[in-house]
Amino acid sequence: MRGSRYAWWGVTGAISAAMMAVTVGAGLPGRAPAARTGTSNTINYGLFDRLLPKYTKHVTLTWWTWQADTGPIVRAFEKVYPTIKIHTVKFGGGNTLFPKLTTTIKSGSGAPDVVMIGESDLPQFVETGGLLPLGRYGASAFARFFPSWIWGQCRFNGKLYAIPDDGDALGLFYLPALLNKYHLALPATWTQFAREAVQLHHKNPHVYLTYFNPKGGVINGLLWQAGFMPFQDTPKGWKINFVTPNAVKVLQYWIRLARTGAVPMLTSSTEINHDLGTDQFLTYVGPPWTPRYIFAATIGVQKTKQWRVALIPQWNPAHPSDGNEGGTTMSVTTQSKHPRAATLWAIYDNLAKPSIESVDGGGITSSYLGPDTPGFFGPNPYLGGQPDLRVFFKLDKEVNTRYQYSPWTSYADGVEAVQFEDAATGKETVRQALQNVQRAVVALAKTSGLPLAPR
Amino acid sequence: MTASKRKRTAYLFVGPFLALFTVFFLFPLGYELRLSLFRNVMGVNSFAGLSNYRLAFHDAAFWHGMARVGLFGLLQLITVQGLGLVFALLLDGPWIKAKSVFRLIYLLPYAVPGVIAALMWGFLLAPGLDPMLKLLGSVTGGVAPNLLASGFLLYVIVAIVTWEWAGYNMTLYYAGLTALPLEIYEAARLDGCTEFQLALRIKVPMLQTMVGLTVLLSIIGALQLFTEPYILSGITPVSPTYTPNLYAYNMGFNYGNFNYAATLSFILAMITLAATGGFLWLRSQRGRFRAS
Repeated sequence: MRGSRYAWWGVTGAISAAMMAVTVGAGLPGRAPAARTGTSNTINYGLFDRLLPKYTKHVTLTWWTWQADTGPIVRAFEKVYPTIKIHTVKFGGGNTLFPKLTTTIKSGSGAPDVVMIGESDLPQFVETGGLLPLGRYGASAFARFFPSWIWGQCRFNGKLYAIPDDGDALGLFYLPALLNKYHLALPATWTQFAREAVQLHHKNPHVYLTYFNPKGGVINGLLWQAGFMPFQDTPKGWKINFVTPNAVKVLQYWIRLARTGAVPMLTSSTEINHDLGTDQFLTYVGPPWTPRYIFAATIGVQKTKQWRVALIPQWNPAHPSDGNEGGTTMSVTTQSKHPRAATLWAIYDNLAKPSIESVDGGGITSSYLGPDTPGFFGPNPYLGGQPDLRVFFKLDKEVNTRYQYSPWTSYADGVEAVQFEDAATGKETVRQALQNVQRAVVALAKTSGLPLAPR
Repeated sequence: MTASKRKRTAYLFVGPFLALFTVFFLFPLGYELRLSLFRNVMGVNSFAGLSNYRLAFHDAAFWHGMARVGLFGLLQLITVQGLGLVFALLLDGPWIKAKSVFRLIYLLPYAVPGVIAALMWGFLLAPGLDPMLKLLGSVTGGVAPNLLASGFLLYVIVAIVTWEWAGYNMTLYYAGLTALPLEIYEAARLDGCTEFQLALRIKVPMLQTMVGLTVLLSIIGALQLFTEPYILSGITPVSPTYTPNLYAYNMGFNYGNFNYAATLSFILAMITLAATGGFLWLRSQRGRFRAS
């Protein structure tokens, strides 16, 4: 769904960024839809409407979300199910919702019926035992609307714990006018990207091709693109492996660029917010919600309209690949007294037409229903009318579908930020940084009591 | 008044404190201890004995954080207490004009909430935004130093805390100084004591109790360091295990492992008790030594 779920990722000024500081990188990368081939021609809204079951009991559901424009979809649902009322509780973002959900699950009361959860946080919440398996409430019938790997990532120990919502592959945003001014082509590979970064910095030391931030979802997505898979859920338990050649390659690539001064390393979000408004950077790596939630929030809508998006540069153009930043799911808690109605709402909010067609610059639906939605490939006003989802639809299919989140992903994100920065400033080597992350994450994983598989 | 009646009165006075102490300290501590002896997998609790403690004692991140707040405590003792004392002595001496203005100026940062203070400093320390850092950058060859980088972060936090608390301590010390009897100063001056000697030999020793109290509070404050790293982590990479308190918070509310969070908090509580108890014991020993 192109739901406005990413308000909390938006760099809307340091105050909100700081207030949201709790989960250092909680929910950074997300998952994207994989190949939507084969079954997609028989999957459409007609089938979805036919599959929706009847529900006649009078109930009120509490729904926690950080989606911005909830009105239309709630009204549409209450029209289809007049006996179900949705009581929406809005949170500023995943990281304000997150601690509250954790606490209410632990305390055994106060949790909502339905709750939005970042895909990267889902395993952690499944592990609390506070989420309800949805299979027996009619959710399984809707598996056919999603690529199997997306559906599979909401399943743990053979049970379904969430309905997938949107995935967010990384693209390359760029300022066409400035690329032209400096006679630079859109880079197709990372090698070309590095070459152009050096050239540009040589021509004008005050302008850069992009910046490097060791903290946050972008570097995670870039690692994902290169085949980095730190967590794998195996039959013997979780396999944790951070020290891999592809991670070393990606990090060294960016650190080298930063060391030579070709791209600056920026870690302060206040500074990044400021610099984005000064046309210092010609490109920006980001997911579909970037224009609305990053650009518009920091540089204003008028300046946002000067940006366009293109395919992300590749390591090996013969085998294109991509990673994600963002992605959400919808779960039902074990505290819900109306699990069947709650499951219905989780399904409806992620698959019904009013939700997917509300083109507001949010994510891109993980389901097969996108192409069946009028205006799905239409112009995006935030990007000066560029039909950006054509680009992201292609990128989604290139996402490495074997990447997995674990119950320790948000912790790992926090540790990585510090270690990657230390590696970039020369305090340690990239390999040492990854080894430190590995050690810290394994130590934390041991406290959970879950089985760990050997590396 | 009979003995039993006196006893009853005593209980009446102690009662409210004891009730609050039990509800808000003993009970949570006991509950924490209980939580720390369990493990929760998929929502199912099972008794884990001391295994959480075994993990915690081998948890390098936790002890690194502990060492960090230890260093922080030492540094802020010098800056916060030291500067506070120097300011108070200066204000109490004959050298300063417009004393009330300075008293107000130095106390002002204390009135700024810690959250706002940390945010303000976050802006001040961003290399691209702060004009002074930019200037420094042009001297050192173009690149402004990033004071929020992990190597500097602790010192930045010390600076924030000093800015915030030195004035507060100054006010306490100054209040203590104004409470001292003037006859002593007079006697000292008659004996030929200079203003500097007066400050060093008379005022400082007589402020001992007040200094002792603020040092005690600052030990507790250091061990519980949370707000500044927590707020700064929204602006710059800060380890989720930066201080023991931040680690315990993240462990509970962000990683959902309440049992391990309780273990870490319990250890922190015990260390805080030991540190404050140790400090009080040292003081009492010194008092005894003096008396004999």
